[in-house]
Amino acid sequence: MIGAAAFRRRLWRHPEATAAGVVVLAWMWLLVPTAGGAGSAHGSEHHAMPVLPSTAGWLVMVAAMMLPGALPAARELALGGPWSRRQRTTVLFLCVYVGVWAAFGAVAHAAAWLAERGLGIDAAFVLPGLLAAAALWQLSPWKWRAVRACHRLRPLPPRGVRADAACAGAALRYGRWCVASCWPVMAAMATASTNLWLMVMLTVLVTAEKLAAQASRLAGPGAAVVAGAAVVVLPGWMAPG
Amino acid sequence: MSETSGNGGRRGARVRRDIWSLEEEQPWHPITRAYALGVREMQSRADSDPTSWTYQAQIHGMPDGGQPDDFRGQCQHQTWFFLSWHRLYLHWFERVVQACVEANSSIDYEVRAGWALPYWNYSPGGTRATLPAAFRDAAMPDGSPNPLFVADRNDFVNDGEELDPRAVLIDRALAPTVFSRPRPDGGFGGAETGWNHFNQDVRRMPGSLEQTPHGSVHVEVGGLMAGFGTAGLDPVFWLHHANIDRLWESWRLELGRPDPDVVSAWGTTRFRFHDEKGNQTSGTAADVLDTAADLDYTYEDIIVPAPTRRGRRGRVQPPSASEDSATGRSEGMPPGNDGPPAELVGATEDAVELSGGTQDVSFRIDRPRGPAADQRDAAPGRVILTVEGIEGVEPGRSADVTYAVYLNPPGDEDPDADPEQFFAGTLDFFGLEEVGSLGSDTTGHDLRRSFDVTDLVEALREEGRWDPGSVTVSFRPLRRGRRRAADDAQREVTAVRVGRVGLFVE
Ligand SMILES: [Cu+2]
Repeated sequence: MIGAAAFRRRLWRHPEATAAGVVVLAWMWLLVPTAGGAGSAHGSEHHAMPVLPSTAGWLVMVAAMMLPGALPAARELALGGPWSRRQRTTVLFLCVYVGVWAAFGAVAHAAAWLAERGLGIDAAFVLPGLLAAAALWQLSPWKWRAVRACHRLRPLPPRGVRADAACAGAALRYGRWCVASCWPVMAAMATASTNLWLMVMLTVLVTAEKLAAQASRLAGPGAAVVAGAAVVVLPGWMAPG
Repeated sequence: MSETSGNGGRRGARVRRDIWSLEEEQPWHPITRAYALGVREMQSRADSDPTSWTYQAQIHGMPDGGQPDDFRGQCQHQTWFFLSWHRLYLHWFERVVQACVEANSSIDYEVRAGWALPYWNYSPGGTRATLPAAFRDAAMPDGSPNPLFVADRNDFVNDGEELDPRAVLIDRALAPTVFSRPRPDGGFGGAETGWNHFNQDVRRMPGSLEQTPHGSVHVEVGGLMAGFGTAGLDPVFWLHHANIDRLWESWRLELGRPDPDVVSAWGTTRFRFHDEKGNQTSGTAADVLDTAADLDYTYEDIIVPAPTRRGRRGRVQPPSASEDSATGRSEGMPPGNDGPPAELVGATEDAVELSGGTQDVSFRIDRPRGPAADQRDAAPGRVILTVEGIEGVEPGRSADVTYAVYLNPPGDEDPDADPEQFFAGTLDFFGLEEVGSLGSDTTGHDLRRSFDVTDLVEALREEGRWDPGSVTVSFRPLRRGRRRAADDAQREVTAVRVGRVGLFVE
């Protein structure tokens, strides 16, 4: 009885709990090989995948990597609104946000295809190249302006279509800054969706950047970690398994 | 490194005295003069010296929102660390001044041995709400330049006129019965957050004391005092914060309100400082709860005065009545995140611009739909007015106008009604210049303020002045001395955009 009441109260305070569940499911899907996730596709080229699974795979990866850092923002907007809009605000905000990353994924896949097929760049160098770019981006002031801009959430109108529109607008702005902050990292992931250890490492990094009080202190360490990864994924360094 | 307050536990702690009782005893009281000489000594030191005047001010905020380091740009606002961080900050500053005073042979032996930072208790109003002459005279009694004088303040303050009573009101500041609350209000001491210089944590929300009198006095004194990065350069800053620290003691000890859990993040988060020799040190909230034993000071007077006319609806209960049914509804709630959450029942649809004049906004109120709906008939829950998404229309400018906030104030048709019976609180914009810039980790987003209007709404309801379907919120600029009209004509006011004015019920 008491346990159930306490649990309900906790849920009252955490309208983003459902979305947190989605993150957990996404990670399970990615980590359990038999579930048909990245593990089972290990070693295969993502271009070889049919369009639909590739899109679904990208969305799962976005949910696993980019949702954790966005949960506090969704919670903040939901708690600041009327009771009846809490779930609606959370779902709308996070869906539009994931939508922004889906659009980015489409562009990134197209660019990767163009680079490999159109320009004849050796596929083996795309991932290390993008990670090297990510390491450099880590050291630029624009990266940190984008991270700070992610913290900016304007309060939403109380009800109706205006509230929905403002919520979607907030998610678009938030997503845009998030893309500005994390684009090289996620572009790298778009070409390396099978690489679990890289995914775990980069998730920890991008989530820490979003939630740290003085995020730009992570510039140097983050750049070092990403640059290290770029070296490790160079062809010949790590045997493909 | 750990807390190294060497005098810890010594009997007969130093007494921080009221600046006005000193100055009424004797203008340029020896304690005041010793402070001036200490400030002069600190001002003569190189900026890079942690015990210099400039460095000490930069601990609070870097000029022009510059990037913080481990020691500078550290002040904690809109967070539950506000009071404990400033207590540590003041303590180490006081030690620096004490060292300067002790080394100065032109100061009486007794003053040298027992000097402590005075406080400025402006709340009784009248003369007490003016700046003592020792802070307004350009010269010290011996004719030398007065280090306590700063030209960069609002004119009426340096002219010796009093602050508006609504800027120095403490009734509402002392009213909350719990130290910390999650949004929409922050309780007495601010919402639980991580390290939060200004707005790093989305959960940020200032407590009642941080708003008024803290923020309002900052802005009403104006000039250097109105900005994060410059406030510590005005010698009166330290007396203002000693008073805020004293009011924390009033709330804890006189009103008997409980501290947060000392093993929580509140009690254990460590902040770094330098001691009077320039050596690194650090401390936590748990290290500084007993001022006499831990930090070697007490206050001359922490008695809580009777509520004022405006404050009567501000929920100040006499200490003995604190556990009765009148406050029981909030008293029974754990001070953490486990109480039923508040829900928004109405808010403005559009942003509201405040540019120095009176501004009224009205909005629709709906019935609560969550836990507050069930609770409502048994024991009406709390009602909280919020002002959120506050930013300067022109980024980078400090706040220069403070507003009094009224709910459903009577219009001209009711000239007999006392407008102060509709007073909800004082709205300050201290920290406004930090909003909007993305140039460093410490600057950025918005200011938030909140007012517990439970008793005001109850009183209005009883008087038949409360419409459950809508509310009018009126923002009226504070008075600024006798010359206000003339001042205003020349003054270019910093316009402020308020993202949303809202009403929450719990
Ligand atoms: Cu202050």
